[in-house]
Amino acid sequence: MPAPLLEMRQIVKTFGSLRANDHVDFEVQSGEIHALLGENGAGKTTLMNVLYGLYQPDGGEIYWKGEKITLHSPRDAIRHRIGMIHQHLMLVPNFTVLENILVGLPSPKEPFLPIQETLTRLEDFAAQYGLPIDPTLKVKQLPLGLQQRVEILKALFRGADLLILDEPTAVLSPLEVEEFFAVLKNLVGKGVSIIFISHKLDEVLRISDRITVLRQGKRIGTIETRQATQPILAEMMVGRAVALDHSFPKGGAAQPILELKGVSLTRPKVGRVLKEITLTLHSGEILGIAGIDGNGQEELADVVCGLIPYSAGQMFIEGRSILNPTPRKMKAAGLGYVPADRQRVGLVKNFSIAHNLVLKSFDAPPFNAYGFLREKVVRLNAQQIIAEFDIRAADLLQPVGELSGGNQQKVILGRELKLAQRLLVAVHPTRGLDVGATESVRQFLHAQKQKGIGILLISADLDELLAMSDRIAVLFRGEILGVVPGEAASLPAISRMMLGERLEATA
Amino acid sequence: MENVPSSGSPPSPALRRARWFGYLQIILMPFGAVLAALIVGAILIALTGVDPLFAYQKMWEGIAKSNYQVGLVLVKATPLLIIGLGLGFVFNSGVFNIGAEGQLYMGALLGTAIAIQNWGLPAWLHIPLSLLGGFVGGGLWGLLPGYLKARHNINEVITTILLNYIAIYIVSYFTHGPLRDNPLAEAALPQTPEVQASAQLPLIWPPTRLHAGFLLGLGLALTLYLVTYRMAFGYKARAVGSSLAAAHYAGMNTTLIMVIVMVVSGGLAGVAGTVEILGVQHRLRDMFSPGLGYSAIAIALMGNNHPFGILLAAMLFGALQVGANNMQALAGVPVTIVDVIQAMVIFFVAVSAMIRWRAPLLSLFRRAEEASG
Amino acid sequence: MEEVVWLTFLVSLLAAGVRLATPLLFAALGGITNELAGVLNIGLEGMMIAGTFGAYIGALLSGSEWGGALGGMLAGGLLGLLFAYLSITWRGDQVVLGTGLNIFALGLTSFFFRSMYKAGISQFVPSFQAWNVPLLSDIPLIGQIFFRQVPLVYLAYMLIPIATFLLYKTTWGLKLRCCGEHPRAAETVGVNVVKTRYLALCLSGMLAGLGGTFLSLGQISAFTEGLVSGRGFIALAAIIFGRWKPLNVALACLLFGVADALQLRLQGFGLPIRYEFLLMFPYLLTLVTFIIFVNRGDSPAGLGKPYPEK
Repeated sequence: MPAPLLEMRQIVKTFGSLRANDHVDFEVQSGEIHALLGENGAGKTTLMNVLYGLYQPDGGEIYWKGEKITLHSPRDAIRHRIGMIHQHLMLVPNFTVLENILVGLPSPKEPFLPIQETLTRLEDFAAQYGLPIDPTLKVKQLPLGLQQRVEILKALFRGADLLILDEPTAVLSPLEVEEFFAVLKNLVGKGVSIIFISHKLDEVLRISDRITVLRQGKRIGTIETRQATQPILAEMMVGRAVALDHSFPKGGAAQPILELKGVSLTRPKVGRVLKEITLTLHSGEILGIAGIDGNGQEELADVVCGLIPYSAGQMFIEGRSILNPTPRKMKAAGLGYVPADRQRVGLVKNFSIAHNLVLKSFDAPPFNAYGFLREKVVRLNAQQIIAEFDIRAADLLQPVGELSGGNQQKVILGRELKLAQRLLVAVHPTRGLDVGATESVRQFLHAQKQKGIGILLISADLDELLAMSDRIAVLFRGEILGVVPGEAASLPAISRMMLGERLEATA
Repeated sequence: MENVPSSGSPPSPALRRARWFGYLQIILMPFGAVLAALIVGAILIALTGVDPLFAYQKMWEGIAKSNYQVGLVLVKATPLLIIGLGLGFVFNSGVFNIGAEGQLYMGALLGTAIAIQNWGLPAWLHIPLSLLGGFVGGGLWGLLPGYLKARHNINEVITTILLNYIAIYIVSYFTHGPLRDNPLAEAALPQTPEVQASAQLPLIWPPTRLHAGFLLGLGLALTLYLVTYRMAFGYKARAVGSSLAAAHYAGMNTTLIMVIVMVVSGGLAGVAGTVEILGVQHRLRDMFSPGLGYSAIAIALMGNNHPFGILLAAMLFGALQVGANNMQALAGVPVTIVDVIQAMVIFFVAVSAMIRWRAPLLSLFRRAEEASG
Repeated sequence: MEEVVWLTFLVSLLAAGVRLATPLLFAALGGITNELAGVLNIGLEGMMIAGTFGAYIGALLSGSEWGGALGGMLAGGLLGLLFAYLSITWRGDQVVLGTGLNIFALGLTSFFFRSMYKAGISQFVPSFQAWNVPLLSDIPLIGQIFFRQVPLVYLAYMLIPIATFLLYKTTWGLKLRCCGEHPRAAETVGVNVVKTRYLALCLSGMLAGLGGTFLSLGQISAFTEGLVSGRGFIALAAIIFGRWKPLNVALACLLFGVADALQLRLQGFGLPIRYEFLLMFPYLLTLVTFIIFVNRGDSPAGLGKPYPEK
């Protein structure tokens, strides 16, 4: 085997007392797509940030093209022709595509910006790699798939022999993923090596040549993709055999509990975010909402939960019309809400666990008497929920911001499931959680459904929707394009609808 | 997995120790900041050619040489305490009101306008009525920026500071014009007539100048402690300050809460201004405040926005002020050194969030977290 | 005859407006620089205050008004450096620190000044004199309004195109604006966010210091306390009013400058309006325009947030 393009030896990186990378070895051969696989928090992104000069390692060495190098900042990485495309795209929404590409590029005619030269090169690149783009548009006007293209162009402009892609498919629909994989193959054909970070087994198996698995900051092993299977990889990732594609029992829907009729939402400067949404959620049913991020999912949840007043249409709970819903009215109607942004919206980060658990009920008995908070009752309530939901914390007075993502989510669930007497709205409930936490969150949701609660499950994770939902509706640019049964056979139809194709016969 | 620290059980002794250490750090940090600021102050004094030890000795003598001086310290601390309480309250809700100076002026204006009226009211009615006037005057001056911030997210820092200048000119107009004492006299000062005897705050520790306003301040500190940390309203106000999005999600009327908090803050500044007139100056003068509203910002921050912390900080700065007057008289060091010290306290407190981040308390939580996988 | 009087009045009003806008303009151009880099600088007022005193000391020591300008820039720049150290290196809250900076500058200048002059009255120092631009100053009206000013006025107005060019047309400006919009993105393309923000704050301090210089050496030839009295905040409002574009911001400064000139003139007219209300007028106008325009523009997305985030 020839000398590898990149070799990282015994990389150590600690944050406080957390060892994110624990003596990790990693190598990439020239011309390969090397997948870096692991759960959330396994240390994949940390390792790559070390390689890109964003973090300084506490130990270990990096060899690049056979030479030992030290990377003090991304400047050094760029100089060595290493490019990185981050999970959260590093683009300025208010800048044009051209400005985003130009930023930080050396100019042949300093201090002027090399605008003409860049436009010409951009056309070359577009033809050479099959990446056409209009450079005069502002990035915020582009769909996520095209924004990612801008990122790739940015990296190619700086010269990249190695491209690091951090969870690049997370923002793409299944069909866009196909297109994206074609681009990757094309890049490899032009001599670019690729590190592909993911936690999705099927994608890794399809696109990569070799796979390295990380778990809890340690390298578990590297195998040829030819020899890998989903169960092998899953066991390497999690450390034990895992049941894959675990699906929950379906059925059990009874009478309608939530009905939306022609609900629309118009926002200033943005326009129509939701267009005449008509949906029915039944008790004991999980209704999944699929769609690429940013197609109105979070607004739909906010509207149903009364956080944003809708512009037109009607909403009913158990047949009773709800006029001007507010969070309080919806709570009184028996609704619980697990919001998308648990850190900023779902929790008050510097409040204790105990206080977060009464965020919606602190002003009524038994937690409140004559305007005063009854601390003893608040703590008793916390003790019960902490035990019931197995929240791992130092104690109930610990600020909730110090908990892990999984435990934060359990605090929210502990609060909201108590409120969800009739229905629950859950948005990305397992996003960013590891396998164990994900599984327990799904169990909690399923148990609610069995109790006869109707659940509106909004998720970008199609596997999750298929595993849990009785029916799945697809949102595209604020419109419901169709509703299909929650089974694997619906996948092609869902993929097409996610890209805007309307389904004629709906379930 | 099994030895995870308590889910529902009481905290371990180690955790309790760490937590106490954390509290201690929060309490001690601001005093460390004052100490550091005094050291920098000493360097500045030395730069002007005065022996800093001599200057600080004069400062200390000014504070502690007699009961009279101690009384003076508390007199100086009183308006700082009352304004600081209001500011701590509003800062807790994430609104950075730096308009206390203007609110103080407007409160003092309305309060004095009532206090100078010869309505033949008994003191038990005239004093509260004047103080209420002060609260209304200051509260109204806080209402506009509070509403604009809460409803339209208009930066309160700019609006409140501009309103400060406007308020000072309004008071200037009244002390030169409609409320001027004896306007026909050739050499009349720009000030109102003396407040009625029935509206003057009684002295509570003769022969010192300490007046009943200090007791009012203590009562307000206790009240605000209860409201902020024991009552549902304080829970809401702190939730709004910690995360506006979360408060909205929880169904709180965030707009109303921010407006109320801002009005209370402005109202307390107005009360402080009125107390200063009714208890000390007895006349409203043009430009009567030496920047009390700005000093109180340092006090609220130093007290960590906690009423009891603010009480300590106000007394400390009252002492610095009295001591600095003595230092100016006897060592020739300008009193404005106190402003410099206040500014440095603000700097230290602003950056100490970073230091607290490294507190041992937190690393202990981290370890507990990791143990739980 | 009536018309001639009015014309004379108008010309002198506008000339004074151009002059009074100058300190605002310096400070606002500085403020644009640090805000586009992502730092919210409430301490602009304090930097101007430092500038008034630094300029006085500079002129006193060097015996020249240009030495004074250097002193003003140095004082403002040092405060910018201090602000950068506390807000970037130590990640302190920018609004709190800015407020502290204002109190700091006010206290420190007053402390030194009163230590130097027990009576509180400064001596006179060399100051800037009006310099008529050859040819241009002879143009009727325009010449009288714009080209018979002190050199600092010309410098301020020349800075408008320079700032526009640097901030919006160069590689450096693009990097700086990227730091303000999305600092992490800037870091990933190799821009040193910390260095850029430090530099922006120092530049801002120096410009605000020049604004202060104009107040002590461009209008009077001495130092007194309270020379700045809120102009730093008016400059902040002008930045928002002009949506971070130097030319628009300059027009906003001009508006406030003319408002100031107007109230000064009206004071001498013996109108039945109390002078306290005239003095209040510029602040009131600023407040009203600020309230109306504050939420119209796109402020830099990363404004006021420390970097790195954690």
